[in-house]
This record gives sequence, structure tokens and C-alpha cells, in this order.
Amino acid sequence: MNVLVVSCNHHKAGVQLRERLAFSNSELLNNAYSQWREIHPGSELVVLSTCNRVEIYAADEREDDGISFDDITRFISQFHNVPADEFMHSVLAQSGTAAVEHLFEVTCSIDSMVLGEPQIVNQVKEAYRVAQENEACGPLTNVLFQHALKVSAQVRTETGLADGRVSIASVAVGDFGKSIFSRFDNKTVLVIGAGEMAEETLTYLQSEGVKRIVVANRNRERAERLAAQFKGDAVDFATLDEWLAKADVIVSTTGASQTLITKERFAAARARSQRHPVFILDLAAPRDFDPTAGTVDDNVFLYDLDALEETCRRNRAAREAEVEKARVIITGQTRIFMQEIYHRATGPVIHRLRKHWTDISRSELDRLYRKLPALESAQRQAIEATIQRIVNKLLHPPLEALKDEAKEGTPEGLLHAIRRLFFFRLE
Amino acid sequence: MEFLAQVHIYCFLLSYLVSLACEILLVFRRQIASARMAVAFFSLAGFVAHTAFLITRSQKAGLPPLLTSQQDWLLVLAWLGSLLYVILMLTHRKMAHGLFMLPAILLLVIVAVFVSSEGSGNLAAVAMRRWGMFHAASLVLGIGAVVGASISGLMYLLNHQQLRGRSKWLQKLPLPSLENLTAWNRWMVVFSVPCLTIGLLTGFLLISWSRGSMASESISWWDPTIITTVFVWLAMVLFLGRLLKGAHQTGKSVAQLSLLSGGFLIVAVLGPMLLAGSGNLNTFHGRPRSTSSDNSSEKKEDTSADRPQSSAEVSPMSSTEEIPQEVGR
Repeated sequence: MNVLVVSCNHHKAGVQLRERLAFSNSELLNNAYSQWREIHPGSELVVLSTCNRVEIYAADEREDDGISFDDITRFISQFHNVPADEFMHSVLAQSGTAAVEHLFEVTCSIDSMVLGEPQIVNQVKEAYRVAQENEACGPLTNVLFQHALKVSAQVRTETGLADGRVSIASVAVGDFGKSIFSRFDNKTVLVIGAGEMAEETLTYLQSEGVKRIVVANRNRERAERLAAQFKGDAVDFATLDEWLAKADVIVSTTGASQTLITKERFAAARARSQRHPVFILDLAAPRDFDPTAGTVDDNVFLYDLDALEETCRRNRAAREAEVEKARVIITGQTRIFMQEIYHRATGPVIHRLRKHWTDISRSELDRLYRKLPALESAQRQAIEATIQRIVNKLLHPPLEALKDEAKEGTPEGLLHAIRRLFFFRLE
Repeated sequence: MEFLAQVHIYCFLLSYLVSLACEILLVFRRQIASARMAVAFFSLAGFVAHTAFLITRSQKAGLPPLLTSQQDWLLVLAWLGSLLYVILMLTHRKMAHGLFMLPAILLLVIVAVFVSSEGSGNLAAVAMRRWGMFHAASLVLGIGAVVGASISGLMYLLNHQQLRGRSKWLQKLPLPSLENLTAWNRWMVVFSVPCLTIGLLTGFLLISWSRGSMASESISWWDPTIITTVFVWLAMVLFLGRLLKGAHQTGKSVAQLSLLSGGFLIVAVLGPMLLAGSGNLNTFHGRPRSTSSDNSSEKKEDTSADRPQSSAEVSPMSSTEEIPQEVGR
């Protein structure tokens, strides 16, 4: 009974290698499961393939002839047609407790490139679901992945590992934008310029429900391209002041070398508006907005890259401070999980031993009843209860010994001794 | 239902205190699941005890809680706040509503400890009770709305401060969005004015009725509680007028005015109640009721203040059921 993992992740392998070993679509993944079942019919498999990692989890309940690292690497090599030598030095191979702990760390997002990012839990869930669909899961992987998801939930509840956002655009929209507005579907977003940061921010804003987007850029063609991408409108750059007065959210990302919106210009635009709350993200470097434009009135909320980066840095530091707490939970849960697994390994022997002794007592009782046919029902019941108590008391020491041994690992020596002592073999 | 009678005011006061302590702890350590559970447990426990206390008091007096005593009137106001808090706590678990609502609830409960808890046992004049109930309920809702506007105003100002980046220590405080707070703030102000107006008008009607029917037991128009309530009403009417007229009014200025109204409310309403409760103010509010079945309260009234018995004033807030008693004598 063993669990193995071969992992090619962002810690040890570059993106090129990860791309070559990836199971990038469902067809490829289904083929992989199908081939694996043909080659290793008795074993279990779960493939986790994301942009940052390709991980193969294999498990086998067989004592002998179980699955090995060589089997997994040979499979990867043959499936992707990549010589094993080319990736062996860039993969992590772990088994038993280390493999279980690794999966828990991955699911809890401790091993992620962005610490505490929430997508990995869904990716693990999806990998497990696909494996189940392909009938590649078994008793071990079922218990393992279900336990991993529970540990992840526990870590998220009991630590701050997933608290706070850590990218500029997510902080801008999630932390600041949502503290100002309760909804975005009735807001007008003005984008000044058509930089990369604008795209990322618009993606977040659209996920919050933004419907009205206008893009103003000196280069009309680029404005139209960005507007089309987000189903918005490109407007004439000359009408910028008019839109400064109308917009609820302003995202500025021009490449201008000088301040584009001075305090006076913005104040004039605000004077024409109802002085409704306006959320300004100045994502340009150098800044497009004069920093003092934020003081025009109480309803202007102006943030530049420094302010956003400061929040990101603080959130990252807060997450890092929670890693130790998460590790304590993971270590504890790994120990509990492994004890359960080791204890499961003793199950067949315990069952066999109990059955063996019960069978003996039954046959002896039958002999006794044949010799003493006059025994009444109540007397028979009393004798049977006595015999059962004797069997239980005799079984207690070996079972307790097995239980104790199973805390530290599969008690192979003890299991072997019991098999030898009582003359039975496991099927 | 014997156990309900065992509930004391300190039971829910302590529950709310523990809940507030856990809320404060959560500001610094949001991940403490046990603190979150403790907040939920103690808030719910406090709310249940609070409800049981009011029911018991009401059953003993044979009157709705709003009409039994000034203490119960305050406790009903606190109970409304507690009900709202429990709903918000269960629906918006990540927000720090408790940090703002629990102190207000606690303040009301603590003030309630120091004001008159004397109740009336007289159940005469059901019709007048209805008017009295209507009067007291309108005022409770109106004053509750002013308290709500002040709390949302305070939350707005803190969130505004947080967003302008002036206070780093506020970064850990999870608050609703400015847009929501502005909406709550404005609606509370809009709601408070008609409620206070109805409360005052029905109060005036009750005073006129009492003066007309029994001049010797009439209520003074110059009762301090009436005067201060009129001031609160005036302040809220002016506030509402400003809110409706000022097209370019920012959320911040509305929040500042709300906070000011809340401060004024505390001074104008709770202040006289406390003074009356300690016997330092001659007002119908807080005066123990004299009933034929309660001689002790009569004695207390005789010695509590040097005011003439013949000119007992009727409060426009909680004591309007006094009128039928007086009339009934």
C-alpha cells in the first residue's frame, strides 16, 4: 500500500519543460488515463495539470509488484514522447508521508507561485473529478483527495493564508473599488490610454459586472481595439474632460511623459458633475493625474501604483506570516491521514484472525452441543457468551499491538508474524 | 416558563459585552474561528435573554413593553438594535457591524439600568393605550433611525478615512462600501423625520386630552423631555431639509451631520432620562408611576423631588398610559 507523486512544477522546471509535459486538454487527459489503465490495471491515478505544475499521483494497495517511480516516469516519457533524461533532473519524486504532505501543501496553496491563491483548490477538485470520471481513482486516492480538500478548507478557515489580494488590478478593484461602490453594473468606466494594465483592470471590473466602458486614447485605432475587446465604446480624446465629469471609475494608463490631468483641469470637470463619488486608478508611470487632484472634493478617491503596490506588499507579508500556521495544520493532518492508511493495511489481517478464532470456537461449540444435547437454550447462550468473551480477550493483545505499531507505519513485521503464527495467507 | 422570569438585565448586558470583546479581537485576528463563533453565540444568547426579559416584564405589567416603564422603552430600542445586529451578523459575517452597533446597544442597556423601572399595573382605557402605544412606537422607531443614521455615518467617516489612506490602523476594519453606507444613512434620516413627527403629534394630542379631561393631573407643555424631543425633531427636520435641498452634498457631509444628530440625541434624550432617574430633573419621564396598587412608588415619588404632585407631567415617550390611570382615579 503506497502513494507516490512525480511533480514537475514551477520550483524546479521552466515553463518550456512544463509545457512539454502538460496534459493541456481533456482529450489528452482522457487518453492518458486510458493508457495508464491498460498498462497498470490494478493501480490508481490522478493527474493534476495546471500552468504551474504537472503532477502525477499514483497509488497501489498491492504489497508486492506495486507501482514505482520508474513506472510513472516511463509512462510520462512514453505518453509525451519526451526522453526521461530530459526531465528527470527537474522533477520531484516523493512517496508515502512526503507525497501526502506534498498534495496537502499544493491544495492549501502553500506551494503555489502566488501564495494563498484560491484557484488551485478548484484545479485539484477538477483533477480528482476527471480521474473519477475515467475510473482511475480507487480507495486510496479517494480518501487522499477528499482529505486534501478538507485540509484546504481547514487552512483557509483557521489561517489568513488566503486573506487579502496580491495583484495590482485585483487590489485596485477588490480592495478599493468595492469599498467605494457596492455594485458596478450601473457605473461608467473611463479608460484613458490602452496599456496592458488597463486590460487586466478591465477584466476584473467586468467580472464585477461593469457594463459601460469608454476608452479615450490619442491613438484612435488602439482605443477601438481595446473597446471592442471589452464591448465598450471608443471616444474622441478631445472629449476627455466631458467624460472625466461623467465617469464613476477612471483607469488611466497612458505613456505620457508629463501630467495629463492637472488639479485645475480635473476641478473644472468636477464642477460640471454632480460631484458623485469617482474612483481613479492612475496606473501610469509617470503618473497621469496630478496627486493633488485627489483633494478636489471629498468624493474623489485617487490611487496611483505606489498606493496599490503598498497594499499588495502588505497583503503578501500578511499571507507569508500565516504559512507556519498552515504548515502545523498540514503536518498534523498528514499524520492523522497516514495513521488511518496504516491502520487500513492491518484490516485484512485483523479480519482474518478474528474469523479464524471465531470459526474454531464455533466448531468446538458444535462438538460440545452434540455431546450434551440436553442443554437448554439459556444454557447454550451463556456458554456462547463465555466463549465469545474468551476469544475477545485473547484477540485484544495482538490487535492493540497492531494498532500501536500502525501509528508509525504499516506494521509489516507484526503482520508477517501473525500470518506465520496462525498459518494463514492473505488472498 | 419559570426560567424566563430568572433572566436579569445583566444577563444580556454581559452577553453583549463579551460579544463586543470578541468583535474587537476579530479586528486584529480575523482568522480566529472560535472568536467568530463566540460572537455569534453571545450575540444570539444576549438577544434571546433580552427578548425573554422584555416578555416577562410585559407579562408582569400586563402592558406592551413600550408602555410599561421608561427602562423598558429603552430596552425595546436596544432590542431593535440587537435584532438588526443579529440579522447583519448572520448575513454579512465578514463586516465589523458589531463594533459600531454593540456599543450603541450597550449604551442603551446601561442607561436603562439607571432609569426608572417602575411599571403600572393599571389596564384601564384600552383606547388610550392604543394611542399611547402608537406614540411610543413612532418615537422608538424615529429615535432608532437617528441612532442608525449616526452609526452608518460613523462607519462612513471611518471608511472614508481608510480609503483616503490617512489612517493605517483602519486598514484592518472590514466596513461596508461607501455607496451602501450613504444609502443607509440617507434612508435612516428620511425615515426618522416622519416617525418623530407622528410621535410628537400623538404626544401633543395625548397631552391636550389629559389637560382637557383632568386639569389637576394634566401634563406640562414645558416638561423637559417634551422640550428636548422637540429639539431632536427640529434638528432632524432641518437635516432632512438640507439633505433634500443640497444637490451637491457629499456623503461625507451627510455622515458628519448624522453623527452630530446622534450626539445631540444622546444629550437631548438620554441625558434628561438619566437626570430624571437620579431624581435631579422634574420630568414625567422617569418618574415612578403612582398607582393604587403600588404604594411604594408613590412614596418614592413623594421623596424623590420637590415637585407638586398636582402637576404631574406626562411624557410623550413612554408614559402615556399614565393618562388613563389618572383619568380613572
